[in-house]
Amino acid sequence: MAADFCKLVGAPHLLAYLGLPEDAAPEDARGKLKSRRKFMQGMQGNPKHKREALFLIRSYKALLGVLDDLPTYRADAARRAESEHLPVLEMTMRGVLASGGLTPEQEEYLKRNALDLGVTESTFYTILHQLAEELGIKTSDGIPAPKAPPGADAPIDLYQLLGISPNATSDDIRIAHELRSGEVQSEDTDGEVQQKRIEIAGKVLSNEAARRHYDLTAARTGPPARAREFRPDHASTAPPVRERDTEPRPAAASSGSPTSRLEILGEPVRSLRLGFSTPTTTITIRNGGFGAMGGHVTTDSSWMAVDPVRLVPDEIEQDITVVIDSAAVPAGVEAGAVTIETDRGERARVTFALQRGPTGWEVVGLLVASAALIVLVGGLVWSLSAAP
Amino acid sequence: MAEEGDNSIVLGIDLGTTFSAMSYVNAHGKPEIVTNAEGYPTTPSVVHYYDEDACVVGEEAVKMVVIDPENVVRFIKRHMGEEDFALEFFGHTYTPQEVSALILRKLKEDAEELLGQEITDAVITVPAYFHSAQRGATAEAGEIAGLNVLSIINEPTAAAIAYGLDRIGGERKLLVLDLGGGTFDVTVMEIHGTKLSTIASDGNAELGGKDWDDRLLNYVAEQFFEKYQLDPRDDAAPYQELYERCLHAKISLSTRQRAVVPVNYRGKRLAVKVTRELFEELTSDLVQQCEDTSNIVLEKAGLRWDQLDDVLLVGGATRMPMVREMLFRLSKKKPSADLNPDECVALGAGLAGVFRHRPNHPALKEKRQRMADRARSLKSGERAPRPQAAQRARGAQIGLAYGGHVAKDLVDASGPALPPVVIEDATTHPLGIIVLDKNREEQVVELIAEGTKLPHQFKGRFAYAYENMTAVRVEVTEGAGSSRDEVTVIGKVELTGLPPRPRGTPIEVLYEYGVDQILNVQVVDVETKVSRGVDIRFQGGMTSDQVGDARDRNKKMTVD
Repeated sequence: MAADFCKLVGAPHLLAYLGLPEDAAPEDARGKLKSRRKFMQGMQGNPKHKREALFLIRSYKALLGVLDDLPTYRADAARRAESEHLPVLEMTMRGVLASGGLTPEQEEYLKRNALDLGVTESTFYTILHQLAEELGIKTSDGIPAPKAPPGADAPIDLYQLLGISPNATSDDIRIAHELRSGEVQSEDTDGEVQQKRIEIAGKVLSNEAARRHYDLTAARTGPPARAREFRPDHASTAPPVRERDTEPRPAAASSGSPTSRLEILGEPVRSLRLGFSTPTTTITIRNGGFGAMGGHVTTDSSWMAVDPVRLVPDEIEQDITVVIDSAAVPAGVEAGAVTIETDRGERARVTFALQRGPTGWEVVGLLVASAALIVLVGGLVWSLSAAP
Repeated sequence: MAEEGDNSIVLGIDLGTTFSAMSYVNAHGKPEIVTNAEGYPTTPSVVHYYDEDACVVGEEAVKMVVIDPENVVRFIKRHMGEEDFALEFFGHTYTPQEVSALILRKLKEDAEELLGQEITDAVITVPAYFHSAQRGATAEAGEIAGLNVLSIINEPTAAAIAYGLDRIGGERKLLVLDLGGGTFDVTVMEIHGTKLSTIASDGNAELGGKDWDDRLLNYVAEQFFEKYQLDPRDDAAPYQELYERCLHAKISLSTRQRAVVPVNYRGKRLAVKVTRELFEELTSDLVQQCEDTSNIVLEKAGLRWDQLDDVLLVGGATRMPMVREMLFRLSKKKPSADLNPDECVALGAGLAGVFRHRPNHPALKEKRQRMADRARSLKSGERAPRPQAAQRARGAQIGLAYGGHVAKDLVDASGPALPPVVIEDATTHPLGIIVLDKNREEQVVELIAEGTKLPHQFKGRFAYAYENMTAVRVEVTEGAGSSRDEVTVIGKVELTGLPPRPRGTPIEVLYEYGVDQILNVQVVDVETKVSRGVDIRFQGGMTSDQVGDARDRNKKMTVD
């Protein structure tokens, strides 16, 4: 009931709907609900608000009951989130695995996403193993092997598989999928494998939520030659240092003198939820060389601010705070980037893929893939359940 | 049932979504609208709770909607029969039945004041498309208001009674389009000799004049928002004020080509101009819905538009030119103009109340004689001379038997030559039974189809599904569908204490659906002749205890 109601009003959870923090006291919540109901009683005939008004009047008693026992509500919400998001997560994983395997970065990313969505780690690995088995992907230590071993074929991208660009519209995807399915014959094993892949590609890319996850996961191609090590404790492993987007340029005339080396800890593409998650985040950079590392930090968007703007040369590790003004982000903008350039000429970019808050999805969510909405709601519910 | 000689007033009540009206049949046998305490023929169906135990109904409540919107109820009819719908005022919870009861009480008290006598008996109308829970809730509302609800009748039937009595005799096919404040239905009726029957009916309980208001309101609010980035719909009181203005603009657009809706919200002002053309564009799909439903009903009735003799418009929203034009385009007939669309349902309800429940009404005696004469001449094939007065009067010149009661009297009074004059209603929802099929899985079997003329009887044989059953349970369902989830169980009959017998032992089930909308279900064990029956009166969701409590609460409430 509470979940249906929140879906209708586009609120991540009941307390957010009432404009209360996640750890609000039940008495406050009940009081808020009561006054909200009273207000809505005068809105019953209002064409703009009557859906909410009528739903609130009809489910008022049930919602009051929910607020009486907030811990249970939080636990329920987390459980529901897990069951709602599993299909999308599974589809994404299937898509990534269909491309041939999984890099540690991708695995790490998917796992973190799964945890964000309220899926437990053990569930995540169970699914991963099942899918690997199903798709016939070799696993060494029970974890699917990384794709593209040295010298082998380039990793297959789902978009390439269908012969479309990553910017393709959902219609393009549907048509391309139909065409490709007709082309490939399943006469031999290769054909069958290919056919299966195309089928998966169609499914993953035509689901908006799964597609977004796939895009973000696929961007995480690790160094090709890097073999996967067995790590018994997946959770405690620190994220690997990223090198791909740093392009060291030869220092001007510095032979002999010690040089600095710019390293970014964490992912080059990160997702940030607008509206309710913290609009502030940090980028940690490290000087992996021996010389002092001066430089400056810039953003490509007016709604994004960084602090500090200049790097402190003598620090080995420093944090850059990124603040996003959610309200100023223009509609349609999906990412923003922070560029760090050292005095030596090294450059690194960290891109933030923006995910809209519920208000943005309210309209779309009702009409378009409900799955997309589910993902958003789920993320919120997770943060709720993690609250003390 | 009416006692011999009981000729007290029966109030005919049209309990509408936006407006209600009432009538009674005067000493001369003519139905008359009873005006309310304010002197108007119709009363807004609006209740304002201004204190824990006091409320005001009607025009005065409408005034308060811009001051105290949280405590004013409108459009409660749209929620009749909804189980989980309740409103809260001053810490008390009220069901839709209780809110409607306050409107009924205001009507009852005003009528008592005007007519100078106590009134308890009433006939209340409902849209033809109301299902049993909604009908039941309406009856419960009457009961809470302290009324003795003699029957619940369909609005188009009532309108046809008010319209059709002096047309009885010929063969006429009639389409009644009822577009009220919040409900819509279309009914095709047939006057055949002395019989008035419903052939087909369909509608939408969620479509009415209110939807036209909302379209206009949305347009105006969007214009305002475009200019000032402020939406008057977001505040309760300004919204209500704007709604009133849009309502009036809509009404004036029925007679004028353009209207202005003034908006004053948070110190910003805007006059939004609306032409009739624009308004019709904004609401074209709503008219289309009416057109589609009309076509469907006509198709159900197996008729073409040119076979209709008359088109009758009921409900204030049918004053909109777009609705009239749509109907004229289809039927090529000018809608019948001799009835006030706001009043004819109440008038018909008053008439039906007398014909059906007051067989000894003194005013009927004279009419009976005249009717007998006319009927005799009809029988002998002569064209009955139509009394001049009858054409002007609102249908009361020739008495009409409802459900056959008066007809029986007439036969007694004037010999066997008199044909009975009856009104046939039709079911608007199928009725069925839950049985077990060959695989012993539950299945709903339809026994009385939608559109079946009333009264109707169904007799069917069923059999034991298991060996040695000693009890049989019959569950009566309403609604279309073949599984339990798709239908509503509206009643149960249990036959217990049967001797154990083999599988296949026959059981007879008898459904008898009368014109008074009461379904009698009999279950008979064929071998032992043990039988059990139950009258299923449609329930609105409140138990009799709850109704009693509500009635006590209602009594304590001051209504002014």
